[in-house]
Amino acid sequence: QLQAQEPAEQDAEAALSEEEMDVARQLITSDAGPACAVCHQLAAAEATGTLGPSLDQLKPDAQTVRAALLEGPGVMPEYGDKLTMEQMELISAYVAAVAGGGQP
Amino acid sequence: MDTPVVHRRHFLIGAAGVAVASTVPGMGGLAFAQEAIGTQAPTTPLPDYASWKKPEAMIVHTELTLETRRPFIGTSSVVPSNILFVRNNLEPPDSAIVADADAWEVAFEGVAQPRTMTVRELKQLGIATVPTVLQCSGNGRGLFDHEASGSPWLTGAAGCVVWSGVPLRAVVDALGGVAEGARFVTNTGGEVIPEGIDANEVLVERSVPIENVDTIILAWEMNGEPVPLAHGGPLRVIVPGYYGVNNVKYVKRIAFTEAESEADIQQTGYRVRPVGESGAPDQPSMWQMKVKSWVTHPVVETPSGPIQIHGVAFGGINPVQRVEVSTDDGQSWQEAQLLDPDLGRYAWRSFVLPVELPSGTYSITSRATDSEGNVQEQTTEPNHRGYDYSGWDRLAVEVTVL
Repeated sequence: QLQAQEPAEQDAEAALSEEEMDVARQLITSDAGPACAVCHQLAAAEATGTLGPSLDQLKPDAQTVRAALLEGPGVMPEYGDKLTMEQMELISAYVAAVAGGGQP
Repeated sequence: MDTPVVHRRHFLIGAAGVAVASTVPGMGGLAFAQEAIGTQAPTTPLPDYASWKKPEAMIVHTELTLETRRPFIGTSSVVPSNILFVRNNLEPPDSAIVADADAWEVAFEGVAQPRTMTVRELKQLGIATVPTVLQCSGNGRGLFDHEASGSPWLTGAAGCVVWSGVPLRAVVDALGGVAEGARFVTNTGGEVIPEGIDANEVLVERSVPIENVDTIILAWEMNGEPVPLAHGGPLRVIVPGYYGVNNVKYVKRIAFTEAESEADIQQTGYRVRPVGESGAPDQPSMWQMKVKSWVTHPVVETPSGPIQIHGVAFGGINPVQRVEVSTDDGQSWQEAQLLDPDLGRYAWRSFVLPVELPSGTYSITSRATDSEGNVQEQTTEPNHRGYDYSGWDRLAVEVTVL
């Protein structure tokens, strides 16, 4: 099941430029407030948080990441008032593309 | 090809009455059923802190969310610890805390004589044993159509277990009584929160109405053993009849407060609201559980002839009065027998209905009624976070009688 990818996810992966990936990594590791990396592991972004689920193990698709950012499942904060929709889309596409430890 | 999650949801929507399995190429109906019910082989390893769980019985959604596969729930009332679900909001603390469980300290506030007590001291104050249903608020999220964020639990984020510990009332009495004006019992979890995040954003701190002071126990024992780290040991707050999140693990502070906790998990989290709305303190909190039941056997297929349909039923804070079973998608119902032992109002009750069914496909489901006459709902209206799907329509199983 690890290979399963939504078509949208593949599109997003293909669409991300190097620049966009840098912006996504910056959000994830320091700017998101609180940064994703405080709680989550994502090797490609050198995120090593262990408080919440490991994104490398979960391997979420972009829609799952977007929903989590908007809803804040469990104790995860909601990011709807912390990030722009564009920033959330970028993070979602990036995580979907790189989760699992591989390089994009 | 779609993701497995999409497959599962499609099947379960189908299980409510409309067969859709055939619309997705490459997967047979049985494979769908097995995935939906959770009988397929495990694919993700168990996390270290729960490595002692029985792998074939568990669906590993994430390392913090492990579900019991539906047919593994038996008829002995109590769910064995090694197949009990796990839902941790945060990474558990270091296992050293359960190695010296008696030394764990809890701060009591909002009482006449506030002080910190160890588990060792609490064990001197009194003992009560209470079987309760522990059920995650999100149990059944995978049965809703809207793709709410979080683990898509089916039926297996629930289990009936036996707790032993000190009644909170005994502790309060020993500390001179509750301070004037207190309206809530506010319990704080002992998870370690890293730098770089405002503690209130992720702190596990839940408030419940103070009326529960006479039923809450502070448990150090579960199913006859010290509470394992995965389930909140050394000490866990048990609020009988309340959703899992209120049963705070690794409790380090118990306060009688005038207001509910300021933590997000209380203010905006675990609030029931329509799809698309943000959480807010004026919405209902996930406190008391609803009347609910589901069939645990058969769930996929069974030989024709005599069939013992069995399952579990509970009523939140009320005992179960009766359970009915339907084998025709809710068109007709037959009263099931409630099995002994009756472990009390907060436990679940196993039920059984013997039937004889000729070969064919049947939509089998159950409907419980509690002692107050509350009947399990037919369908559960969507709520934003996908909390507690209790409707007997989608809790039905589609069973092939061979």
